Amino acid sequence: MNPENTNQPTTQPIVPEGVNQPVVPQDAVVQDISKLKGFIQKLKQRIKEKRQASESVPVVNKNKLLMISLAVFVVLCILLVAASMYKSLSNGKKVVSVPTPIPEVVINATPTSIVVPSRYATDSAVLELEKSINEVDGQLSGTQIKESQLTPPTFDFAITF
Amino acid sequence: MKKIFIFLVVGIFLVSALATKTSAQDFDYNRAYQDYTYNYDLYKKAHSEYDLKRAQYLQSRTLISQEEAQKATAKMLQARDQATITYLTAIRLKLAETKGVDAIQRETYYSLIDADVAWYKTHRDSISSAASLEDLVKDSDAAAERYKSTEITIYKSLLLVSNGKTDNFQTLISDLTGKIETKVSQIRANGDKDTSDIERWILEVKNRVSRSQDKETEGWALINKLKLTDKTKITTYNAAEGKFSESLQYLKEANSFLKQIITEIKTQD
Repeated sequence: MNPENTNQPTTQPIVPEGVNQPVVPQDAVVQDISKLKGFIQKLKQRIKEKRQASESVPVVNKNKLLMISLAVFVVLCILLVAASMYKSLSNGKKVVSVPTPIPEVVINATPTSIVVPSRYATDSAVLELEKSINEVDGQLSGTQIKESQLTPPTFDFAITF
Repeated sequence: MKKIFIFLVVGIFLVSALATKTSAQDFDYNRAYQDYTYNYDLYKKAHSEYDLKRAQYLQSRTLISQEEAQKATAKMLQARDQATITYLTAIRLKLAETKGVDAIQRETYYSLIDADVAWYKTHRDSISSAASLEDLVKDSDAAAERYKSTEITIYKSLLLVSNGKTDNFQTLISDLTGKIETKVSQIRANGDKDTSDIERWILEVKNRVSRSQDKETEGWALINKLKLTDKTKITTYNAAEGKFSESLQYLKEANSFLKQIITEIKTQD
């Protein structure tokens, strides 16, 4: 309310924006009432706008929250499944990581089967060579370079009386 | 009657000759090794007896205990010589039976071993239980001095055995490599297979064999540093054997490459 205008008649009452009211010359009380009505109307509109704004923001947040929760749940499920698989594979035993020896020289193991044989796969000379190489391989595997049987005996030479 | 007598004499001669020949043929490394272990056990028993009698003598100082100590010491010294003789004989037969041992080096070490065996036989036979304790101590000291050089012969002979093993494999692998090279040349001439990888692997095989030989040289360089006065000859010997183990490892790699080459030859490009 405007206290300055309480005792002065106004030819044109103040009408809030956006409110279409017929301009009727009234006394001060009527003007005040109409002002109040306009103010309330304006207030209602602002509240409505604010409410709409406040309602629209949480919807987005809720969606995000839902998505995050779902993702966490999926990750937890995956971890649970992985843990149960790990446990079943190790049979409840503690898995000890065995260091893989790194050979000085990498030798590709000879494949036992040949996928696409060449015309030399059945060559008698090649087969003969293969046989000889395998024989040498067997001998090499069974060879102990040091004669452990012939470790020198221990004798007592410190004979004193 | 005269004919029967001649027949009997000839028969006995033939049977005895055959028996001697069979006996010599049967005496191989395994027999020699059994002989050595048996004699080494005898030595250990004799040494225990010597320890006991020595302690009794040092405690009582009686004539009886002295006599018993002399007998036990003489027996132990003879057993020690005998164990050494049989051990050297076992090494000699191991040298004889190991493939790949160089013939000239083998003969050289036969001579060294035979000289040692002869020395210990003479020493063993010279020991008399009737000798004084002081004489026996001198006998023992003489053997101790001799054993310093015997030890070097032992370690070098054992290394020669290891050398024979690696040399044998080097020869086998080199022969196989040569045959593969010949075959690969034929394949290349035929032009129906790319042999570039195979040729590269053949070079790798040769490289491994060469490294194996280098390790042998390193092993001998170590053992040749042995001196009579060295207290821990066995440490040097073990290090030298380590080099031969590395040598064998290179040969295993070389042979694996040969296997790979054969697979490559048998596989179509």
